[in-house]
Amino acid sequence: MSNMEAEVYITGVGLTKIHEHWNKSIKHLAFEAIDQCLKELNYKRPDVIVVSNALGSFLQNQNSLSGLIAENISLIDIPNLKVEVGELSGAAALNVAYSFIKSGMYKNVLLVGVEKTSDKLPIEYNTAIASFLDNEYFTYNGITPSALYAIVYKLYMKKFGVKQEHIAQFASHDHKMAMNVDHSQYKFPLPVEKILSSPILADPIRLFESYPVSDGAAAIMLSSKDQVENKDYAVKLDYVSLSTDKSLLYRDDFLYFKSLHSSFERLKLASKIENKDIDFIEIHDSYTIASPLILESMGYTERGKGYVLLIEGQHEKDGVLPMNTHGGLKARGHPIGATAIYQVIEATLQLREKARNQVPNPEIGLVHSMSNIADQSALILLKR
Amino acid sequence: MGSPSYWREKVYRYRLIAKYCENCNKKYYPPKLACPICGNKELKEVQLPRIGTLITYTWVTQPTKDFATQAPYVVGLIKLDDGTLIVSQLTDVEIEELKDGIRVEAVFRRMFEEGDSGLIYYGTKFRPCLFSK
Ligand SMILES: [Zn+2]
Repeated sequence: MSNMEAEVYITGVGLTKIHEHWNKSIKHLAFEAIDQCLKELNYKRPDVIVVSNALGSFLQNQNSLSGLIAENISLIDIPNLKVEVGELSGAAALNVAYSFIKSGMYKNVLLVGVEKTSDKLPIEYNTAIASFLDNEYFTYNGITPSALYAIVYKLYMKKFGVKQEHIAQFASHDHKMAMNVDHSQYKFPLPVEKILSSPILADPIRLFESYPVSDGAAAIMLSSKDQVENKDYAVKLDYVSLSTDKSLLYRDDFLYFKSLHSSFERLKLASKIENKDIDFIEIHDSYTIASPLILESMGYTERGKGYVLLIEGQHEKDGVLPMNTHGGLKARGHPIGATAIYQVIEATLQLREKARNQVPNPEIGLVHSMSNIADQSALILLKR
Repeated sequence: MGSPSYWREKVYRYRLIAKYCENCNKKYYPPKLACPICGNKELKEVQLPRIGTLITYTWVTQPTKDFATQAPYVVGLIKLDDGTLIVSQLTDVEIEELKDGIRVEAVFRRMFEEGDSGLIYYGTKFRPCLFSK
């Protein structure tokens, strides 16, 4: 079967700077990213447009978004659709786009992730973000995503005796990486002392341990092998792996991302690779505590030791596992439905050897995304 | 949140009714229509104990619209006396008085209201036990 399936390549990319774009609409942001992406391909026409967006129906009161985006850039004679799975929207949309080509149904799929979060007051944004949880029980009772992560954070420190200053360093790492990245939202260093003295978001989570309010759009063209024109720029999208878990309260262990573990096991089996073969990783670190949990659930460190590679400098661009080389969710920014598409573009830039914080001679890159507290986990494997 | 959904769910919220899977000997709150482990659809309604132990807690400073005037408020992870885990607001307590491991009990409380003349929404919160239990 697998010999019959088409190979999938990323043939073009485009993105906007991540920012609070007060003067640009959601359609405008999508337009800019798509235009940049199609320009790389001499305005080759896609066969279909897949849009990833999580909050437009909430913050812009806008449904049927994919049609508006398509019409705005004069792609009116091809099908369009939108995918929403909370913070995992981009990875889920990519899974759809990937299978369109795998199956042979389409040869060129334009995938665009877009989010416009600064259109409303912060309280509206917080309300929109809380809609990712079960509304009838969690949101109704005033439970927010940051409150759940805070509880996980406290349990983690207690169980493993890890200090907050170790975990907060993941945010410093992101900021250091983002400083020279053109599209990143924050370009200033963030020492641990500054993080730990920032206001409390949900105890123990400090404000600077969480992602900013971000607007942005990112677009990629996925193409079948026969459509690849510029071989130096094309990066192979080798495998997409998604797994789900029961929601947090039903789990026996709050401190292990089972969905991520199974997603990674499946990917390694299918692609015949091991942990050590991954040359760099982009992770979904919405809160600092997510980072050690991700690394531990993937088996990169023992449990309770997720911060050790960071302290040893192994997540630097020349370390054992370079990580978030464009700043991660904390400093690149987290335009919710667009985030995974940014991550995939960043991995593509690494494999094209055009990244600002270039990893030496990378062959294999991995992108990680998730919804809520690993309710669903996605891994996207890219190869040169 | 419209009123039909409010009436539909209120018994589960007021009385802490969970769904129980006999195959797995597991209780689910929020209640489920099928067991997430074995898929059993014949789940029984069971009442959860209204007393438990506070495992840990946090407080919310960035609330949703419904809770805008109430922040900061405390949210705790509670292990009820039958072992069921629940996340709930804590009430009738100052943050300084809280610590992991204290005994807490369920109380019926106002959650939020729809403006000055709209519906008032009720539910369950927890507070430190008034007497040792
Ligand atoms: Zn069962």
